[in-house]
Amino acid sequence: MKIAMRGLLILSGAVLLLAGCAPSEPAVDTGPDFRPVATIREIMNYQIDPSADAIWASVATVVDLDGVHEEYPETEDEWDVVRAHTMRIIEGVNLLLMPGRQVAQPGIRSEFPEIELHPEQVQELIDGDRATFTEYAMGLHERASATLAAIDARDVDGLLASGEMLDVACERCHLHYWYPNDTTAREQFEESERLRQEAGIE
Amino acid sequence: MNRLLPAGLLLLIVAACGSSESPSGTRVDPAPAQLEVAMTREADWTLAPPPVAAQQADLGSIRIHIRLDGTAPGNRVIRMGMDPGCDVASGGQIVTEEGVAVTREGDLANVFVRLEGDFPPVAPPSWPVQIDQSGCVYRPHVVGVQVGQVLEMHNGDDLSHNLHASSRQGNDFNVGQAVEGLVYRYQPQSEEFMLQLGCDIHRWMRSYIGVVGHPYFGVSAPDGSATIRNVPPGTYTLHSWHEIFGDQTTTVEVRAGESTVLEIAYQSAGA
Repeated sequence: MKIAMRGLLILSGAVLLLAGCAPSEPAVDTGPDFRPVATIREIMNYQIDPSADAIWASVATVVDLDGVHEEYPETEDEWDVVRAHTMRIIEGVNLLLMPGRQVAQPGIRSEFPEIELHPEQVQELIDGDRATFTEYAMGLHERASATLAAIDARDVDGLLASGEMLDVACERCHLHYWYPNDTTAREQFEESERLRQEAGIE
Repeated sequence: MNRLLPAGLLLLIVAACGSSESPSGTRVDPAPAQLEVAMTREADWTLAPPPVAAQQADLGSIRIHIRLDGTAPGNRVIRMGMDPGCDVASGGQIVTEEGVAVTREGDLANVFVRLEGDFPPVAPPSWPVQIDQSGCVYRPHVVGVQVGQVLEMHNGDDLSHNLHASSRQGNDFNVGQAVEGLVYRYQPQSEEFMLQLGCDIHRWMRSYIGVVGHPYFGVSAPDGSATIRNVPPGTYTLHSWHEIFGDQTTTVEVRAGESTVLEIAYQSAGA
């Protein structure tokens, strides 16, 4: 009985091996098995926005009782801090674009629906036109990459200017997905864009 | 470096608006009516100091002076150029944040003080606490309001702001004020220390609102002084709050017909 059983096992193994060698359709590479947990909203709140604030704050003119002073990264450690924040934004964009990433946790509603879209509406916009979402996200990626270049060149003026343009990239995307019906915010942004163009600020 | 600002151009904008004193209302049955949220356009709106109540003989008062010891940190110059409209609205002047409004003598402004204790109910004042958005900053920077009192926020700029109160106590609001002259009125319904008001369009705009269930509070003026009037006699805990230097508490005794003088010192990390 034992022998018969062993023979059956050997036979089964041979069948399995043969099946494994049989010609089949080439496997489609679906990429890594990403397991996104955080939502777009959480990545924005926990990673991108705080880092944008840190970059924004890294260069400043400060007034105290003794006069006016400039503050900017000076030591290698200080440059490294702002560089790390910039990397968080750059790679945060990739996280935003990761397939399966949801806008918000289930059940979350807009607190101010008269101004902002509900998360499911934002999700529909994104899912309905991934190319446009990618374009906006890459707008932020490009701006943050310019910030990184300024940091690596130890270019304080470049850091200041690119930090401001990060904000523009954020607002451009928010106007499309977050509060597209806020005509006033849109008009104001467009007016600012016009003034920036007049001033030669790209 | 071209970002260095000529000192001659420097204009420190100090919150000169608003009173350091908290006028106490007459004691009546507190039943604040819920204000219907309203946005109006008012060409003749003005930022006016609230009336100061006369001191009552059977009550006491607290005269507080707040100082900062040590080297005061500076205030950042606001990058108005982020919105070219704000450059225009601020008249092209150099405007700083107001986190540390301190004199050479150490007088510290924008400290919110309030009493903690069991008080007889006092109806909220009939006058509003006002905040103006002017030159893309809030004026005043710190205010106190009684629960049920009207908070009145005006857009004095010829551009769009939004008023976004981020509350942990149910005092949230987020409204746009697209054009100059709009006034938004809101009645906070619960105590909060502190309710932060900001503009999502201009990230540097921040104002702090202490919402108190009684009228015994105040905000220190540029000379560091704040007075709390018409306080029932008793021993209380006095809380003081500053956006950078944090919270402090002290015990204060109030006697009828007397004014208790109190000195509060904050310590700067640069001391």
